[in-house]
Amino acid sequence: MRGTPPKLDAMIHPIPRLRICALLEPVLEEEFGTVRDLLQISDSALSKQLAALTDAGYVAQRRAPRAGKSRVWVKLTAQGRRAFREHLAALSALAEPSEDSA
Amino acid sequence: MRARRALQIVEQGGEVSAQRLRRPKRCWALAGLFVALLALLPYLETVPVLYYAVVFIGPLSIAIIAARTKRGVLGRIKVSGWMVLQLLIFALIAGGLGGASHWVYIQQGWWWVPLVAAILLFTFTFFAGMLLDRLWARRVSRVGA
Repeated sequence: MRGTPPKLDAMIHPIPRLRICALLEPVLEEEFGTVRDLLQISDSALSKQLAALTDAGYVAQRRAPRAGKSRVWVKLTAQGRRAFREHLAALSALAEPSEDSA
Repeated sequence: MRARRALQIVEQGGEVSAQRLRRPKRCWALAGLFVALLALLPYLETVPVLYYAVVFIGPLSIAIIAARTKRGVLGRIKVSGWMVLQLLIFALIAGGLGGASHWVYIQQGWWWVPLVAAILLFTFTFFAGMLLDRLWARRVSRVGA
């Protein structure tokens, strides 16, 4: 017996946001600068994507010092983690039939 | 296929995480040196100043260095029960080996036992630490883990 199939999440679907979620998923939180460097995008581009994810309740940001400097820390919320996993499940379900036809 | 491309991107993110969460080798060399130093404590019992320096200043130095360096996989991920168990086994083996060498040194007077224990503990901490670190980083970075 199968439950309702997972749905793609329009908020996570854009590639930059998907990459952000993929980087944040394994960790409790990550520094803004680290995410920016790993994604190789500008501060403003990352801020824009994070703002969208924050508005959706998928990401939380906080300011905290590290090595004497105030830095922004970013993390996926429980809702964000759940949404990301469901999105992955939906992507996998979509990708599966194409493997048969390939 | 866009779905497959998106999954590939997520997998690449997981690979990046598996790499970035690992501590550099020098951290494990430092940890190994510290544990080895503890195994050499029996030699220092006749020099109380050095003995207490190792016992108290050693952990303090490690804590300061650890606080100033980039956080590794521990401290950045949610530690699960099986990770704690692995850490406990790691500590038990290291502690057991150190304790046994100390006991044999006192009972039998074999001067070389703490030295051998120190070498073994350094090797064990260095390789087992790196292995655990790599294992955990890979596990938590696995897509959908």
